[in-house]
Amino acid sequence: MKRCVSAISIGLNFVLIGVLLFCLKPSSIPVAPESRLKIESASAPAVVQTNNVIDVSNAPLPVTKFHWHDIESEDYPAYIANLRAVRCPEKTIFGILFADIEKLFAERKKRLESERTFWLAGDDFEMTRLAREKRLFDLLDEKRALIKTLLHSDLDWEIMQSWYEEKLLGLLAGFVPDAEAERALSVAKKFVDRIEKVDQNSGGLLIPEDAEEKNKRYAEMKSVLGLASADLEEGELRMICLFGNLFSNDATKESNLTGQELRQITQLKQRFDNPLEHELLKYDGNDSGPEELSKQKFFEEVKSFLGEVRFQRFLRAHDRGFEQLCNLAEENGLRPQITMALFEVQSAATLAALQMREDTALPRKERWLQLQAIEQSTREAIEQMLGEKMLARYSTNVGDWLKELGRP
Amino acid sequence: MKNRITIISVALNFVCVTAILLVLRKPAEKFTAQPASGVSQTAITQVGATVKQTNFVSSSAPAPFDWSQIESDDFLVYAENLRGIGCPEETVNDILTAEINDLFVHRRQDLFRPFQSQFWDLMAQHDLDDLLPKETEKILDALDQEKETLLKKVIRAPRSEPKNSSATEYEAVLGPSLGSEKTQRLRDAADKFNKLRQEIQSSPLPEAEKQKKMAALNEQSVAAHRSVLSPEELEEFDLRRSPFAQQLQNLFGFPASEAELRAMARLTMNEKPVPPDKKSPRYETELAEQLSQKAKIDKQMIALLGENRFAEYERSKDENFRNLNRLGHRYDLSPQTIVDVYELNRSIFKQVREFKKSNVASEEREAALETIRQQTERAMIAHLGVRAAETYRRNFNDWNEIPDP
Repeated sequence: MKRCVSAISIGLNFVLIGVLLFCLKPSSIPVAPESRLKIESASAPAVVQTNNVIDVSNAPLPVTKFHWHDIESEDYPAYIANLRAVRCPEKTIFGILFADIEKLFAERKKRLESERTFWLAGDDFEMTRLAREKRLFDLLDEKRALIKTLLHSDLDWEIMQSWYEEKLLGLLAGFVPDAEAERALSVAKKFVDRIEKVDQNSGGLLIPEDAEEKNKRYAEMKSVLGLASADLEEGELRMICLFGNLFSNDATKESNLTGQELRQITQLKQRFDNPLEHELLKYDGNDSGPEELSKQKFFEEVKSFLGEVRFQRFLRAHDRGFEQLCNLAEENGLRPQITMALFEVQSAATLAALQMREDTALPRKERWLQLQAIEQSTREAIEQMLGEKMLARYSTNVGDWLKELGRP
Repeated sequence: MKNRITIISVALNFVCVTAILLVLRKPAEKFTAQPASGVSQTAITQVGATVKQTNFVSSSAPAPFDWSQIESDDFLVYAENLRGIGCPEETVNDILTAEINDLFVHRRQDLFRPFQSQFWDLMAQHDLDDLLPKETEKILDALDQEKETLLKKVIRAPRSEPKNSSATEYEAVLGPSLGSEKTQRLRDAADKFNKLRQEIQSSPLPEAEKQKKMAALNEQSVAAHRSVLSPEELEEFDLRRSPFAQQLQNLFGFPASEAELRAMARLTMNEKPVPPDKKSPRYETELAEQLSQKAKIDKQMIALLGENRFAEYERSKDENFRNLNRLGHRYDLSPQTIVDVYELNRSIFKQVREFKKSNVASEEREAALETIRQQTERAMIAHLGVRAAETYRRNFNDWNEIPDP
């Protein structure tokens, strides 16, 4: 009996050692996950349909045989469906597709841009330039439409990169929740692109219809930003403060503005001298008249808001011409009151000359005579304040505007 | 003795059975991500444990893959898990960059939140690059640093341009026809010389010595770049950089083939410019040389284009003709209208110049010029239409200047 047990045990030894050796044969020795998964994937059962959409209902993918190839697809809707099928979070799906679409379109854009033919003269060059610009804008629209359709999003890649990197942008737009800021900035970018399209199509010669089109786009943008009216107002004011250079610099500190005062001044800028509107409405390259008029109106309003002394400090900080005048006055020992009086004479004379030039009812010669008279009387007024010698110095250093007064 | 053999045999059986059981359990670890260098062992163990459990459940009926099996709050683990299922490096990059950007932008915005109510005070009292308190700026810098370090750790694929990113003028002028190999060689050369320039700039040498070295380096740089190009590419580069080629896009109303334009560029390649300094003692000589050379070039141009087309070419260089063409493009004016208006302007200006030279009394002169101006305005409106004429007046202001009182 003992011999029998011993024989069975020894026999079992051989069987078990055989089984153990079988279990340890090379195919079951762990290898690096990636290479193993690839091998297994190659022999995986055909659970993926021809368009690479996973059929989760029929045969669930065995975990051990899963490979990225099983979900990746060149067909975006299929790719999204596959990612959803494996319960990939929507945020991650967005991250994958958003970057992929950007790369796809960046490549197409690069190809389009490299299609330039160098040896083209004026008309042919302009024709191909316009055609290329149009294709580039169409491509941009196509990309946005695709993102909207697939991902139900308005986000813009370029804006998002700035949003991630630019602290100032974060601070400026940080008064609304992050998602709202990201969307509003992206939508604004879409409209800025459309406004730029008008500029590019103009070939450098903007016409009133362009200004009209740009203005329409701007109004449309404000209506679709999705911000509450108070937020929209705050956002626009912050942009005006930035683009209108109203923010603090060394000189503003002297005028001791409070935050509330700066906001109120920015509101005046928005109402009387809006830099965003100047950018949109400008179409006649040579005529700076309307902008000059609105700047003067703005200064008038700021003056009555701040009072003369603080206004002078504000002006010095925000008007380069006035700063130069102040420097000249200080170098020559002139009183601050004189500086302000000079500025007022300049403002009044410039305004009068601008109005005269706009008065087309007057015969041309009469207009010119009037302009000459404005120049002469202004010169005399300044000479009275400064004296002959100082007037010469004034004219050389900061008095270019005087010569401009008499221009027809 | 026999008893001992039996005992050993039974023990061996026990060892074998245990070993077999252990081996049979091992496949459950298949999904454990390979630890990357620097990945914490705890994190890996956690993922391994999760997967192990799932696989045990699925050992009889394999469960479908679920994203939660690879997702991790630890970005390094997440990246390794993605790589583990064969996710391409570029996609790993996209997924992780998006996650990290999102995380850090929210952290930054959270830092900004308390300052939103003080925004206008900050703008009124601080410089734009110094808006926030120093401590906050420090935290922001640390946040940037943290994000950068994390991205460097997690992302293997390059996040931006390749390392040699000094695009060269040759690339800009010749475009993709250069091919990627030559483009890269040009960029390498540019990088090398940029580095050498920086070294000279930051050296303690006197300024004059620096300039001398810089000039020599620039010559070497040009030679090194040019050595990359074939003779044909060099000729094309020089042609495209010629003054003629630079103004090609402004030559309106002069249709020409590529071959003609190249031939014209070759003819004008060494054309001397008008001498700039009228006070120079050599001015007259240089001007005569320049005019004589131009006459020769013009002759060759006429031989190439014929008299009429040469006249078209000359006209296309006139700024007034260019402006009219720009206007024509905006208002769909016919080429003939543009030519007509151009000729009209020319004849008027000729008339005005002659009139100004004549000894006419001031009042009579002004009246006559005013008449010319009004006639011009009417003629322009008749040719261009009211809107285009107004745009022309506002932008180019020509006939408005005619009376010149």
